[in-house]
Amino acid sequence: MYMKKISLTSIGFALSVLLIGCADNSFEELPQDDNYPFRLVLDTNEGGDLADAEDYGITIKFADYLPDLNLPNEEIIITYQIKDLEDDMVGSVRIDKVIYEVEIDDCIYERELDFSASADGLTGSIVLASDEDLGSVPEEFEVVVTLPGGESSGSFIFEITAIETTQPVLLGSPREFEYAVLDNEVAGGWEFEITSDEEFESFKEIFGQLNADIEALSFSEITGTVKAEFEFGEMKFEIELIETEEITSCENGESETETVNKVIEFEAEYEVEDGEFVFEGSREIINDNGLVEDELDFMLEGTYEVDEESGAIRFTFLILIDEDNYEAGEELYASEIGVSFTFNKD
Amino acid sequence: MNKNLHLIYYTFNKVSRYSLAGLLLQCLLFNLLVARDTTAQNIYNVKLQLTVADMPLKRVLETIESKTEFTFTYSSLKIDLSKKISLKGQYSSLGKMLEEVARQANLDVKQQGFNILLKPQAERHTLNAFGSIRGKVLDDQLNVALPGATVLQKGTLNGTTTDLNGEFFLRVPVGEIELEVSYIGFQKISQVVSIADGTTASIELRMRSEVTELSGVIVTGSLQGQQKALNQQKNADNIKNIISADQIGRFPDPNVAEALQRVPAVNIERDQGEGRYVLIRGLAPQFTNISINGEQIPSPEADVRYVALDAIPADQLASIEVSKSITPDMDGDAIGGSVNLITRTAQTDQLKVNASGLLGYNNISGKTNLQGSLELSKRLLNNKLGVMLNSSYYETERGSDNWERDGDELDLRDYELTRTRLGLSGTLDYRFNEKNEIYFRSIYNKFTDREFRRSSVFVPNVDNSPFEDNVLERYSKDRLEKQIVTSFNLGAKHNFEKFNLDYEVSYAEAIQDTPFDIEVASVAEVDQLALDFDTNKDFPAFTVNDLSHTNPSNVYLDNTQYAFDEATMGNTYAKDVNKTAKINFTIPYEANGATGMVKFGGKIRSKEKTFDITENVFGYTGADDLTLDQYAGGNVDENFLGNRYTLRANADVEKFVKYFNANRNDFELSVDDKLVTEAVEAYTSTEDVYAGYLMTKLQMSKLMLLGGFRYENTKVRYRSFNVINESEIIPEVGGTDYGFLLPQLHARYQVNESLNLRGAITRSYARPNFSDIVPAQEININENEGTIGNAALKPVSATNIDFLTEKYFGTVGILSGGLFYKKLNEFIFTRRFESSVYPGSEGVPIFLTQSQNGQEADLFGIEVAYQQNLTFLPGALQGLSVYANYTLTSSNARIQSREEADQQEEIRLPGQAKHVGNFSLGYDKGRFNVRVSANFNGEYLSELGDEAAEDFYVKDRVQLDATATVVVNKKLRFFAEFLNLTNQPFEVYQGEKDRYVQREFYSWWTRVGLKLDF
Repeated sequence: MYMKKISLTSIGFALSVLLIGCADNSFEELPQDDNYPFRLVLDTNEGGDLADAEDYGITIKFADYLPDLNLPNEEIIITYQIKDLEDDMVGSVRIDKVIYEVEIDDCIYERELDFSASADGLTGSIVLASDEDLGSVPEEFEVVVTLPGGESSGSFIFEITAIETTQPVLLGSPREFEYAVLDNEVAGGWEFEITSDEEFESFKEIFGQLNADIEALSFSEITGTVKAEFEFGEMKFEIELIETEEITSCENGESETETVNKVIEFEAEYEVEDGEFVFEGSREIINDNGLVEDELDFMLEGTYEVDEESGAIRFTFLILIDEDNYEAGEELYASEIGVSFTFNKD
Repeated sequence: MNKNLHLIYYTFNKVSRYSLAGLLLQCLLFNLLVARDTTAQNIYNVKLQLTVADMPLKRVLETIESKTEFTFTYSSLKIDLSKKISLKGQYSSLGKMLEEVARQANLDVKQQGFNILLKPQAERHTLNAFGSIRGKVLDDQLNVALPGATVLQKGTLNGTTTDLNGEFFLRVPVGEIELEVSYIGFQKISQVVSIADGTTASIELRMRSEVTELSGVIVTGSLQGQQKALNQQKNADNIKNIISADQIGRFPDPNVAEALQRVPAVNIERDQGEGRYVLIRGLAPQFTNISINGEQIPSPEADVRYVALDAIPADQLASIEVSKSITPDMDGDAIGGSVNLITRTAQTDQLKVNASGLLGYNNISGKTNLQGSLELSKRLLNNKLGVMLNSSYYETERGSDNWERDGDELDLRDYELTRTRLGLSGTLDYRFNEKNEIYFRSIYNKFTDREFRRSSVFVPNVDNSPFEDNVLERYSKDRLEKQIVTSFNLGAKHNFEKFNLDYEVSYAEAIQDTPFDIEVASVAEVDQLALDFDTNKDFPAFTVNDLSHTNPSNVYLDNTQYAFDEATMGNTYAKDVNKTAKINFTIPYEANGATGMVKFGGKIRSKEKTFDITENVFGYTGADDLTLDQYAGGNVDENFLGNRYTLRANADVEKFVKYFNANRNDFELSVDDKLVTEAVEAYTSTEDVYAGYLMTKLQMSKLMLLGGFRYENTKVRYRSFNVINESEIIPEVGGTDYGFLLPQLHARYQVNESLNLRGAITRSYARPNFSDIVPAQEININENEGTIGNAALKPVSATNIDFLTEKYFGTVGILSGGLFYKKLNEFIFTRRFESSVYPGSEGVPIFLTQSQNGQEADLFGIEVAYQQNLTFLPGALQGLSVYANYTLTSSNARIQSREEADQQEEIRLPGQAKHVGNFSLGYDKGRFNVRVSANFNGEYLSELGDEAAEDFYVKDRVQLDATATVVVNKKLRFFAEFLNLTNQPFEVYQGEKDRYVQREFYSWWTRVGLKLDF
C-alpha cells in the first residue's frame, strides 16, 4: 500500500513537472506577419499641378512585395470617392480614364481599365482586371481625373474606400490623395541661358559639387540652355549638352526615332517661403574607382526674386552644406553675396 | 562513405524523433521500479553462517537448502558428493560461503534465480591461469558507491580504480588473492578472494569513513562529495578536476556553468547574472569541448560550437569532469580543456528515491522562483537490469537594471525574464553476466527564456548638425527562446579473457527555437538633449529641453511625444545534429614486472547544422497618428537603478501585436531588408569527422606513463548566400578538409600515497566557429568594403605543457599547484585587407574583413588549489573547512596591427582573465553547515575595437554567496542559499577603466528548500 502510494505520487509529480516544463510562455495572440498579402496603395498622399492643368494622374500600385510572389490574375473591384472639393474643383473633378502600360517587345502600349462612376462622378468603382499579356493585373495604373483648367484654385481628396477580391490583397495605405493647386511663385517651367565660361564655372561651383557629371563638364560641351521645372515639392534642372543622341520610342505600336540633345539632370526637393528657398537632396560621393561610395544629404539655401514685369525669377545661391561639411568655415559653398542666375518662363 | 553513414544511422535517427515519447514511456516504467521484486535475492546478499568439519558435500548442500530458499542442481555422476568439506570462517554472505565450498570441492557455482547450479571445474591450466574479479566498493555507513577507489592486488602493481558506480573489474591470477582497497578519508581494507581459472568472482567491499570513526561527525552529502571527487582526481591518468553531484550541493549553483566556476582555472561568462559559458585556463568558450557521457554535444546556437551550460540543470548529473589535459582516447578539439557531464545510473537493488523542492525569491524582480527534482533508481532482475529516471524543473523570474553607452548615446535597459529548465534523463543498463553489459542513456534538456527588454535610448545631436536631431528612442522587445538538447547513447562493454571491448552509437540533437522575437521602436525629437558621462561615471546624468532627468516633468517621460517608428518581427530556428559511432579495444599486458594496457579505437561523427531565419520589419503608413501612449503598457520598474532614473510604461508588445493584426493593411513590409537579412544569415552545413587512436599505459612501481597519438580528419561542407550591394543574392557552396595528428604523453609519479607529481605534453586543436567558416558574405562594392567568410579557415592548433603537484590530506583535502603553457598556432584573427577577389567582383579592389589563420599566441599560467576540513584544529574550530583556488594567466597573441596594416600588434587573448579564484569558508557543527563563498573573475578583453583605445573589457567581479544546511536526519536535509549578496554588477569599460560602456545590476536572490533521500 505504502509503495503504491509512493508510486502514484511519483508518477503524478513527474508528469506535473513534465507538463509545467513543456508549457511555453507564449502570446495570447501571435503577430500575423508570416503571410505576405499584396497591398494596393496610392503612390503618394498628396500632390498638385499648376492652376491651368486640365487633368492629373493619380497612381495606384501594389506596394513592395516578395519577388517569388505572382500578382493576382483575377479582377479586383476598387471603389472610390472624390471628396472635400474646394473652390473651382467643385463640379469639375471626375475620373476621365484609368490607364496602365504594358511593355511588349520594347514597345509601350497604353491600355485602359473599366470604371463606372455616379452621375456626379464623385463615387464609383474601377475594375482592375487581369491583362492577357501580363498574365496578371498590372502592377500599377493611373487614375486620370479632370481638372477645371484656366486660373483655377482649390483642392480635393481622392480616396479608395474599399476593394473586393478573392485574392490575397489588402487595401493598404495611403488610401487618400489630396490634390492642391500649386500656388507658389517658383512653380512651373523655367529656362536659363549660360553664355560664358565664367558663368558656367559659377554654376559648377554650386551644382558641380552636387552632381559629378556636371562637375566633369566644360563650357564647350553644353549648349548653354538650363531648364528648370518646379513641381509639387520637387524641382529638376536639365543641363543641355551639345552632344546629341538618337532616342527611339515606341508607343502603342508606333515607333519613332528622334535626335535630341543629351541632358544631365539634377533633382532635389524644395521649399520656398517669403523669397527664400531651400533645396534638399543627396549628393553622391565617388571613390577612386569611379563608384558611388556614399550618399550625403545636402542643403542648398538662397533667395529668389520675381520680376513682376518680365516674369523672370532670379535665384541667388548663398550656402551649400552636407552632412559632413556644415560647420562655419567648412561649408561646401558659402558667400554673403552668393551666385545668381536669372530664369525666364519656359 | 557518407552514404554508408547515413544508412547506418537511419534507424537510429528515426528513433530520435520519438525522443520525448521515449522518455514519457520511461516515466510509465516508474511502476516497475516500485513494484515488489519477486525474483530471488543475489546469494551475495544472503546472510548465512555455517560451521562444519569434514562434512560430506551432500550434507552441506542439504543443510544450506534447509536454511535458505535456494535449491542446488547438479549431476551426482560428475560431482563427488562424498567430498569432505570444512567451513569455519566468518562468511559475509552465502555467496562467499559457496565460494569456499566450491574451492574445496573443485566446483563451479552459478546462480539461476532460486537454483544454484554446481558443476565440476573445467580442466585447469596451472601455468598463466587467470580469472577476474568484478567488485563494488561501498561506504559501509551510508551504503553508497565509492568512485575512484584504488583497488590493488596486494604485493603487485596489478590494480585498478572504481568507476562512477564504485565498480571495478580486475584480471588476477588464480588462487588466493588479497585485494587492498584505499580511499581518501576512509580506512584502508583488504580482503582475500579465491579465484578459479577462467572464472569471475563477484565481491562487495565495504569501507568505513575515518572522519566518523575519529570525531563522530555526521557525514553529510557534501563531505561525501569531496571524498568522491578527490579520489577520482587522485587516481586519474590525466590532469583533471571532478565535481561530484553531492559536491555541487556545497555551493548554491543551480546550473552546470555555475557549478564549474568553482573549479581552479575556470571562469564563466554570465547572462542576466546566471552563468552561461565556460572559459578554461583563460581561453574563450570555443576552445572547450563539452560532452555528455563522453560524447560531444552539439551547440543549439547558430554561429558557434560551444554550449550554453545554463540550459542544463546541475541536479541531472552524477558528476562533472574537467580534463585539462587530454588523452588519445578523447576528442582532440579541446585546447582549453574538456568538460564531460556524466548522467546517473542505478546502483542498488533497493529503490532509491531522491527528491528536492525549493522556493526562492529574486529581489530585483520581486518574484519567486521554484525548483523541484525527483530521481528514482533501482536494479531489477537479480541486479542485472538497472533503471534510473531523473526529472528536474526550475523556474525563475528575474531581471536586471542596466545602462549602456554607445559613443555619445545612453541606453537605459530594464530586463524582465522568465526562465525555465526542464531536465529528464534515464539510464537503462543490463548486465548479462559479470563480463558483458549494455546500456542506453538518454537526456533531454529544455531551457526556455522569455525576455522582455524595455529600452530608453537618448541620442543627442552632439555636433549640432542641421541634418540631425536630438532623438529619444524607446524599444520594447519580447521574445521567447527555447534551447533543447537531447542525447541518446546506446553502447556495450565486454570483458573478454584477453581484452576489453566497448562500443557505442549516439545521437545528439541541439535546437534553438525562437518562435517569436518582436521589437517595437518608437521615436521622439526634442529641442535640447545633453548627456553627462563625466560628473558621475557610475551613473550618467542628462537633461532634456533643459530639464534634469530627475525632474518628473521631463518630456522624455511623455509617451504622447513618441511616434511609432518600426516593428521587427521574426523567428529563428537553428538545429545541430551529431550522429556518432565509436569503438575501443583495451588489451592488458605485463612487462618486466610492470602492468599496462594498450588501447586503440576509432570514431566517426557526422554533424549537420542548419540555421533558418525570418525577419520582417514593418513601417507604419496609416493616415492616423500612432503614438506610444496608444500601445504602452506592462510593468514599469519603479526602482530602476536604485531610483536614479524614472521610467514610464514602454510599448506593450502584446498590445501592439493586437493593434498590428487589426490594422495589418497600414503596416508596410520592408521587402529588401527581409531578403538581405535572411539570405546573409541562413546556412546549411555538414561536418564529418573520422578519428582513430592508439595509446598505451604503463604502471611501474610509482610511475605511470601514458602515451599515444590520435588522428582526426574533418570534412566541412556548407551552403549559404552572398549578398552583393544589399540587392543581389547569389547562392554559395564551399568547404574544407583538414587533418590533425595529435601525440599525447602523460606521466604521474606517486611519491607516496598522498603525493602525486604529474606532467603532460599534448597536442590539441579547436575548430573555428561556424560564423567564421560559413560566411555571411556581404559585399558593398560601392562602399568599397565587404565582410566575407573563410571556407578554407583551419582550426587553431596548440601544444600544451602541464605540470601539477597534488598533496592529498587524510582528513579530506588537497593542496595542489601547477604550471601550464600553451602555444597556439594558426590563431584566428580578423584581418582587413584590400582585394579584388570576392563574390560578385568585377575586378574592382575593395577592403574586405575576414577571419584568417596565420598568427600565434602564447598562454602561460599558474594554478594553486587548497581545500581541507580543518579537523586538526582544537575545539569548535575543527568544524571549519576551506575551499580556495587561484589561477594566474598571462597571454600574448599577435594580430595584424590596427594602426599599420603591414605591422603586427600584440594583444591579450580575448576572454583571458589574469586573475581567477575562489575562496570559500565553511563551518560544520553537528547537523548544521554554513558556508560563505566568494568567486573572483578578473577583468578580461571581451571585444576588439577599431584601435587599442577602443577595446572592450569586462571588469573584474567578485560574487559573494552563502549557503546553510541542516541535516534533519539521513533522509532529510533543509537548506537555504543566498546569491550575489553584495549586488555585484556586470561592468564593461572601453579603453580606460572608468569609461564604462555597460553597468548591469541583478541584486540578490535566494532559495530555500528540502532534500529527501530514501
